[in-house]
Amino acid sequence: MHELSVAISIVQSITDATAAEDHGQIAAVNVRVGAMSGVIPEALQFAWTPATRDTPLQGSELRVEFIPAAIYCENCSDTVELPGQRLVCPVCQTRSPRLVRGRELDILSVELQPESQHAS
Amino acid sequence: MPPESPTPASDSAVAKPRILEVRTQILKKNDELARDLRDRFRAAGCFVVSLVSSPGTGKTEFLKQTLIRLQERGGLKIAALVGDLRTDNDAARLAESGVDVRQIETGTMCHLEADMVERAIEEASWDCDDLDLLFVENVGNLVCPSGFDLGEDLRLVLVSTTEGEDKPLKYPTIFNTADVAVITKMDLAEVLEYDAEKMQNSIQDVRPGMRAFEVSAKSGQGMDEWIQWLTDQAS
Repeated sequence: MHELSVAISIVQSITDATAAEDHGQIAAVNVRVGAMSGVIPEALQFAWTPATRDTPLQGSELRVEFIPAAIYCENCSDTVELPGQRLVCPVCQTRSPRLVRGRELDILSVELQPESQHAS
Repeated sequence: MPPESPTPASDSAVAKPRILEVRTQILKKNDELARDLRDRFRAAGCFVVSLVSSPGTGKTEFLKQTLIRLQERGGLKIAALVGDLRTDNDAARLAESGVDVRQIETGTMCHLEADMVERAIEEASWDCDDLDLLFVENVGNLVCPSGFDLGEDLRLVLVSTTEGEDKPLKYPTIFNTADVAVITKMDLAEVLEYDAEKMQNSIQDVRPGMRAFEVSAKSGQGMDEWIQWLTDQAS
Protein backbone atom coordinates (compact mmCIF):
# COMPACT_ATOMS: atom_id res chain seq x y z
CA MET A 1 0.00 0.00 0.00
CA HIS A 2 2.55 2.54 -1.20
CA GLU A 3 -0.37 4.75 -2.24
CA LEU A 4 -0.28 6.21 1.28
CA SER A 5 3.28 7.45 0.59
CA VAL A 6 2.05 8.84 -2.72
CA ALA A 7 -0.92 10.58 -1.06
CA ILE A 8 1.36 12.09 1.60
CA SER A 9 3.66 13.36 -1.19
CA ILE A 10 0.68 15.09 -2.83
CA VAL A 11 -0.29 16.75 0.47
CA GLN A 12 3.28 17.95 1.05
CA SER A 13 3.70 19.27 -2.50
CA ILE A 14 0.46 21.24 -2.35
CA THR A 15 1.12 22.53 1.15
CA ASP A 16 4.54 23.76 -0.03
CA ALA A 17 3.13 25.29 -3.21
CA THR A 18 0.26 27.12 -1.55
CA ALA A 19 1.91 28.13 1.73
CA ALA A 20 3.12 31.52 0.44
CA GLU A 21 -0.30 33.20 0.68
CA ASP A 22 -3.68 32.49 2.21
CA HIS A 23 -5.80 31.12 -0.61
CA GLY A 24 -8.58 30.02 1.68
CA GLN A 25 -9.94 26.53 2.00
CA ILE A 26 -8.95 23.92 -0.61
CA ALA A 27 -12.04 22.07 -1.85
CA ALA A 28 -10.51 19.65 -4.33
CA VAL A 29 -7.22 18.46 -5.77
CA ASN A 30 -6.82 17.35 -9.39
CA VAL A 31 -4.14 14.75 -10.19
CA ARG A 32 -3.24 12.56 -13.15
CA VAL A 33 -2.31 8.89 -12.77
CA GLY A 34 -0.99 6.77 -15.64
CA ALA A 35 -1.76 3.09 -16.16
CA MET A 36 1.96 2.26 -15.94
CA SER A 37 2.71 4.45 -12.90
CA GLY A 38 2.28 1.63 -10.40
CA VAL A 39 -0.38 3.64 -8.56
CA ILE A 40 -3.95 2.39 -8.40
CA PRO A 41 -6.47 5.29 -8.41
CA GLU A 42 -8.88 3.51 -6.02
CA ALA A 43 -6.10 2.83 -3.52
CA LEU A 44 -4.96 6.46 -3.76
CA GLN A 45 -8.54 7.61 -3.04
CA PHE A 46 -8.64 5.28 -0.05
CA ALA A 47 -5.37 6.73 1.28
CA TRP A 48 -6.51 10.35 0.83
CA THR A 49 -8.49 10.65 4.09
CA PRO A 50 -5.68 9.47 6.42
CA ALA A 51 -3.05 11.38 4.42
CA THR A 52 -4.93 14.70 4.71
CA ARG A 53 -5.95 14.38 8.36
CA ASP A 54 -4.80 17.43 10.41
CA THR A 55 -3.46 19.16 7.28
CA PRO A 56 -4.82 22.16 5.36
CA LEU A 57 -6.25 19.63 2.88
CA GLN A 58 -8.44 17.85 5.39
CA GLY A 59 -11.93 17.42 4.00
CA SER A 60 -10.86 18.11 0.41
CA GLU A 61 -11.78 15.87 -2.47
CA LEU A 62 -9.18 14.06 -4.56
CA ARG A 63 -10.02 13.85 -8.25
CA VAL A 64 -7.96 11.37 -10.24
CA GLU A 65 -7.72 11.50 -14.03
CA PHE A 66 -6.64 8.07 -15.28
CA ILE A 67 -4.32 8.03 -18.33
CA PRO A 68 -4.32 4.77 -20.32
CA ALA A 69 -0.94 3.60 -21.58
CA ALA A 70 0.04 4.29 -25.19
CA ILE A 71 2.95 3.12 -27.34
CA TYR A 72 4.43 4.28 -30.60
CA CYS A 73 4.11 1.36 -33.03
CA GLU A 74 6.86 1.32 -35.70
CA ASN A 75 4.82 -1.03 -37.84
CA CYS A 76 1.72 1.19 -37.87
CA SER A 77 3.81 4.41 -37.74
CA ASP A 78 1.34 5.64 -35.18
CA THR A 79 0.74 6.16 -31.48
CA VAL A 80 -1.76 3.60 -30.24
CA GLU A 81 -3.60 3.44 -26.93
CA LEU A 82 -3.32 0.15 -25.05
CA PRO A 83 -6.25 -1.68 -23.47
CA GLY A 84 -4.01 -2.89 -20.63
CA GLN A 85 -0.34 -2.99 -19.70
CA ARG A 86 1.14 -5.26 -22.35
CA LEU A 87 3.29 -3.21 -24.71
CA VAL A 88 1.82 -4.95 -27.74
CA CYS A 89 0.08 -2.99 -30.51
CA PRO A 90 -3.65 -3.86 -30.41
CA VAL A 91 -3.86 -3.20 -34.17
CA CYS A 92 -0.98 -5.30 -35.58
CA GLN A 93 0.26 -7.27 -32.49
CA THR A 94 3.81 -5.86 -32.78
CA ARG A 95 5.67 -5.29 -29.50
CA SER A 96 7.04 -1.84 -28.90
CA PRO A 97 9.24 -0.61 -26.05
CA ARG A 98 8.36 3.02 -26.85
CA LEU A 99 5.94 4.00 -24.13
CA VAL A 100 4.45 7.38 -25.04
CA ARG A 101 1.95 7.74 -22.18
CA GLY A 102 1.15 5.87 -19.00
CA ARG A 103 3.88 6.77 -16.50
CA GLU A 104 2.18 10.00 -15.38
CA LEU A 105 2.02 10.85 -11.69
CA ASP A 106 1.25 14.56 -11.74
CA ILE A 107 -0.49 17.18 -9.69
CA LEU A 108 -2.47 19.49 -11.98
CA SER A 109 -4.37 22.00 -9.87
CA VAL A 110 -6.30 22.69 -6.70
CA GLU A 111 -9.81 24.03 -6.51
CA LEU A 112 -10.43 26.60 -3.81
CA GLN A 113 -13.67 27.12 -1.91
CA PRO A 114 -15.60 29.99 -3.49
CA GLU A 115 -15.15 33.28 -1.60
CA SER A 116 -18.83 33.42 -0.56
CA GLN A 117 -18.45 30.12 1.32
CA HIS A 118 -15.26 31.31 2.96
CA ALA A 119 -15.75 31.34 6.70
CA SER A 120 -14.65 34.79 7.84
CA MET B 1 -35.64 18.21 -4.19
CA PRO B 2 -36.79 21.81 -3.53
CA PRO B 3 -37.72 23.76 -6.63
CA GLU B 4 -34.82 25.82 -7.87
CA SER B 5 -35.25 29.52 -7.30
CA PRO B 6 -33.74 31.93 -9.77
CA THR B 7 -30.31 33.03 -8.65
CA PRO B 8 -30.45 36.53 -7.23
CA ALA B 9 -27.71 38.83 -8.49
CA SER B 10 -26.21 39.56 -5.12
CA ASP B 11 -23.24 38.72 -2.90
CA SER B 12 -24.97 35.59 -1.69
CA ALA B 13 -24.70 34.05 -5.15
CA VAL B 14 -22.65 30.89 -5.25
CA ALA B 15 -19.35 32.00 -6.75
CA LYS B 16 -17.52 29.93 -9.30
CA PRO B 17 -14.78 27.73 -7.87
CA ARG B 18 -11.34 29.28 -8.19
CA ILE B 19 -8.71 27.06 -9.76
CA LEU B 20 -5.09 27.32 -8.76
CA GLU B 21 -2.59 25.68 -11.10
CA VAL B 22 -0.05 23.56 -9.19
CA ARG B 23 1.79 21.71 -11.94
CA THR B 24 4.30 19.36 -10.40
CA GLN B 25 5.22 15.70 -10.31
CA ILE B 26 3.79 13.85 -7.33
CA LEU B 27 7.06 12.08 -6.46
CA LYS B 28 9.18 15.14 -7.22
CA LYS B 29 11.00 15.08 -3.86
CA ASN B 30 11.99 11.44 -4.24
CA ASP B 31 12.90 11.92 -7.90
CA GLU B 32 15.10 14.93 -7.14
CA LEU B 33 16.89 13.14 -4.30
CA ALA B 34 17.37 10.06 -6.50
CA ARG B 35 18.86 12.27 -9.22
CA ASP B 36 21.25 13.82 -6.70
CA LEU B 37 22.26 10.36 -5.49
CA ARG B 38 22.79 9.17 -9.06
CA ASP B 39 24.99 12.19 -9.81
CA ARG B 40 26.97 11.56 -6.63
CA PHE B 41 27.48 7.86 -7.42
CA ARG B 42 28.51 8.59 -11.00
CA ALA B 43 30.96 11.29 -9.98
CA ALA B 44 32.46 8.80 -7.50
CA GLY B 45 32.63 6.03 -10.13
CA CYS B 46 30.27 3.77 -8.18
CA PHE B 47 27.83 1.62 -10.20
CA VAL B 48 24.52 0.97 -8.42
CA VAL B 49 22.26 -2.04 -8.96
CA SER B 50 18.88 -2.41 -7.27
CA LEU B 51 17.05 -5.73 -6.97
CA VAL B 52 13.28 -6.19 -6.87
CA SER B 53 11.17 -9.35 -6.70
CA SER B 54 8.36 -11.06 -4.82
CA PRO B 55 9.17 -12.42 -1.37
CA GLY B 56 10.66 -15.90 -1.81
CA THR B 57 12.03 -15.55 -5.34
CA GLY B 58 15.56 -16.14 -4.10
CA LYS B 59 16.85 -12.55 -4.28
CA THR B 60 19.12 -12.85 -1.28
CA GLU B 61 20.69 -16.19 -2.27
CA PHE B 62 21.19 -14.94 -5.84
CA LEU B 63 22.79 -11.74 -4.54
CA LYS B 64 24.96 -13.70 -2.10
CA GLN B 65 26.26 -15.95 -4.90
CA THR B 66 26.82 -12.87 -7.07
CA LEU B 67 28.82 -11.22 -4.28
CA ILE B 68 30.89 -14.37 -3.66
CA ARG B 69 31.77 -14.63 -7.37
CA LEU B 70 32.62 -10.95 -7.64
CA GLN B 71 34.82 -11.21 -4.53
CA GLU B 72 36.63 -14.22 -6.04
CA ARG B 73 37.30 -12.28 -9.24
CA GLY B 74 38.67 -9.43 -7.14
CA GLY B 75 39.45 -5.90 -8.23
CA LEU B 76 36.11 -4.39 -7.20
CA LYS B 77 35.21 -2.75 -3.90
CA ILE B 78 31.62 -3.78 -3.21
CA ALA B 79 28.95 -2.93 -0.64
CA ALA B 80 25.31 -3.90 -0.26
CA LEU B 81 22.17 -2.53 1.37
CA VAL B 82 19.24 -4.80 2.06
CA GLY B 83 15.71 -3.72 2.90
CA ASP B 84 13.29 -5.82 4.92
CA LEU B 85 10.31 -4.98 7.08
CA ARG B 86 11.91 -6.76 10.06
CA THR B 87 15.09 -8.61 11.09
CA ASP B 88 18.63 -8.30 9.81
CA ASN B 89 18.73 -11.98 8.77
CA ASP B 90 19.37 -11.16 5.13
CA ALA B 91 22.20 -8.75 5.94
CA ALA B 92 23.85 -11.50 8.01
CA ARG B 93 23.46 -13.98 5.11
CA LEU B 94 24.94 -11.56 2.59
CA ALA B 95 27.81 -10.63 4.91
CA GLU B 96 29.04 -14.25 4.64
CA SER B 97 30.36 -13.22 1.21
CA GLY B 98 32.86 -10.88 2.89
CA VAL B 99 31.19 -7.78 1.47
CA ASP B 100 30.26 -4.84 3.73
CA VAL B 101 26.48 -5.12 4.18
CA ARG B 102 23.95 -2.94 5.99
CA GLN B 103 20.32 -3.72 6.75
CA ILE B 104 17.57 -1.16 6.28
CA GLU B 105 14.68 -2.16 8.54
CA THR B 106 11.68 -0.48 6.97
CA GLY B 107 9.15 -1.32 9.71
CA THR B 108 5.79 -0.78 8.02
CA MET B 109 7.18 0.55 4.74
CA CYS B 110 6.54 -1.78 1.83
CA HIS B 111 9.29 -0.34 -0.38
CA LEU B 112 12.53 1.63 -0.21
CA GLU B 113 12.71 5.32 -1.06
CA ALA B 114 15.72 7.41 -2.05
CA ASP B 115 16.06 9.08 1.37
CA MET B 116 16.34 5.67 3.07
CA VAL B 117 19.21 4.74 0.76
CA GLU B 118 20.91 8.08 1.42
CA ARG B 119 20.50 7.70 5.19
CA ALA B 120 21.79 4.11 5.18
CA ILE B 121 24.94 5.16 3.29
CA GLU B 122 25.53 8.00 5.76
CA GLU B 123 25.01 5.71 8.77
CA ALA B 124 27.44 3.17 7.29
CA SER B 125 29.98 5.99 6.83
CA TRP B 126 30.71 4.68 3.34
CA ASP B 127 32.75 6.88 1.07
CA CYS B 128 31.29 6.39 -2.41
CA ASP B 129 34.71 7.28 -3.87
CA ASP B 130 36.02 4.04 -2.37
CA LEU B 131 33.19 1.92 -3.83
CA ASP B 132 32.99 0.46 -7.34
CA LEU B 133 29.71 -1.38 -6.99
CA LEU B 134 26.73 -0.97 -4.66
CA PHE B 135 23.79 -3.37 -4.52
CA VAL B 136 20.46 -2.29 -3.05
CA GLU B 137 18.10 -5.17 -2.34
CA ASN B 138 14.56 -3.86 -2.05
CA VAL B 139 11.80 -5.22 0.18
CA GLY B 140 10.22 -8.34 -1.36
CA ASN B 141 7.34 -6.77 -3.24
CA LEU B 142 6.48 -6.63 -6.96
CA VAL B 143 4.05 -3.72 -6.68
CA CYS B 144 5.11 -0.88 -4.42
CA PRO B 145 8.79 -0.34 -5.37
CA SER B 146 8.02 0.34 -9.03
CA GLY B 147 7.50 4.11 -8.87
CA PHE B 148 10.35 4.96 -6.50
CA ASP B 149 13.68 5.83 -8.11
CA LEU B 150 16.57 4.98 -5.78
CA GLY B 151 19.31 6.57 -7.87
CA GLU B 152 20.34 3.20 -9.29
CA ASP B 153 22.02 2.70 -12.67
CA LEU B 154 20.36 -0.64 -13.18
CA ARG B 155 17.12 -2.06 -11.84
CA LEU B 156 17.12 -5.84 -11.80
CA VAL B 157 13.82 -7.69 -11.50
CA LEU B 158 13.87 -11.35 -10.45
CA VAL B 159 11.24 -14.01 -10.97
CA SER B 160 11.59 -17.70 -10.13
CA THR B 161 10.59 -20.81 -12.07
CA THR B 162 8.24 -21.64 -9.16
CA GLU B 163 6.10 -18.53 -9.62
CA GLY B 164 4.51 -19.31 -12.97
CA GLU B 165 5.46 -18.15 -16.45
CA ASP B 166 2.72 -15.49 -16.49
CA LYS B 167 4.05 -13.65 -13.45
CA PRO B 168 5.40 -10.73 -15.55
CA LEU B 169 1.93 -10.27 -17.05
CA LYS B 170 0.43 -10.06 -13.57
CA TYR B 171 2.94 -7.43 -12.42
CA PRO B 172 3.65 -5.51 -15.65
CA THR B 173 4.65 -2.18 -14.14
CA ILE B 174 7.63 -3.42 -12.16
CA PHE B 175 8.90 -5.39 -15.17
CA ASN B 176 8.37 -2.37 -17.38
CA THR B 177 10.49 -0.16 -15.12
CA ALA B 178 13.33 -2.71 -14.88
CA ASP B 179 16.48 -2.80 -17.05
CA VAL B 180 17.28 -6.49 -16.83
CA ALA B 181 15.53 -9.65 -15.64
CA VAL B 182 16.89 -12.73 -13.90
CA ILE B 183 14.92 -15.98 -13.78
CA THR B 184 15.98 -17.86 -10.65
CA LYS B 185 15.71 -21.48 -9.42
CA MET B 186 16.46 -22.98 -12.86
CA ASP B 187 17.57 -26.18 -11.05
CA LEU B 188 13.85 -26.82 -10.43
CA ALA B 189 12.81 -26.22 -14.04
CA GLU B 190 12.47 -29.88 -15.00
CA VAL B 191 10.41 -31.02 -12.02
CA LEU B 192 8.13 -27.98 -12.43
CA GLU B 193 7.75 -28.58 -16.18
CA TYR B 194 8.82 -24.98 -16.53
CA ASP B 195 8.19 -23.43 -19.97
CA ALA B 196 11.18 -21.17 -20.69
CA GLU B 197 9.76 -19.77 -23.92
CA LYS B 198 6.49 -18.83 -22.24
CA MET B 199 8.36 -16.93 -19.50
CA GLN B 200 10.49 -15.09 -22.06
CA ASN B 201 7.36 -14.17 -24.03
CA SER B 202 5.66 -12.83 -20.90
CA ILE B 203 8.70 -10.66 -20.17
CA GLN B 204 8.89 -9.40 -23.76
CA ASP B 205 5.18 -8.48 -23.73
CA VAL B 206 5.61 -6.09 -20.80
CA ARG B 207 9.19 -4.93 -21.44
CA PRO B 208 10.07 -5.51 -25.10
CA GLY B 209 13.79 -5.94 -25.68
CA MET B 210 14.77 -6.61 -22.06
CA ARG B 211 17.54 -9.18 -21.50
CA ALA B 212 16.51 -12.05 -19.22
CA PHE B 213 19.13 -14.37 -17.70
CA GLU B 214 18.29 -17.90 -16.54
CA VAL B 215 20.23 -18.83 -13.42
CA SER B 216 20.39 -21.18 -10.47
CA ALA B 217 22.17 -19.76 -7.43
CA LYS B 218 22.22 -23.30 -6.05
CA SER B 219 23.84 -25.15 -8.98
CA GLY B 220 25.67 -22.15 -10.43
CA GLN B 221 23.91 -22.49 -13.80
CA GLY B 222 24.05 -19.25 -15.77
CA MET B 223 25.92 -17.37 -13.03
CA ASP B 224 29.15 -16.88 -15.02
CA GLU B 225 27.28 -15.38 -17.95
CA TRP B 226 25.38 -13.05 -15.60
CA ILE B 227 28.56 -11.97 -13.76
CA GLN B 228 30.33 -11.27 -17.06
CA TRP B 229 27.42 -9.15 -18.30
CA LEU B 230 27.17 -7.27 -15.00
CA THR B 231 30.88 -6.45 -14.85
CA ASP B 232 30.73 -5.26 -18.48
CA GLN B 233 27.87 -2.92 -17.55
CA ALA B 234 29.67 -1.63 -14.46
CA SER B 235 32.98 -0.92 -16.14
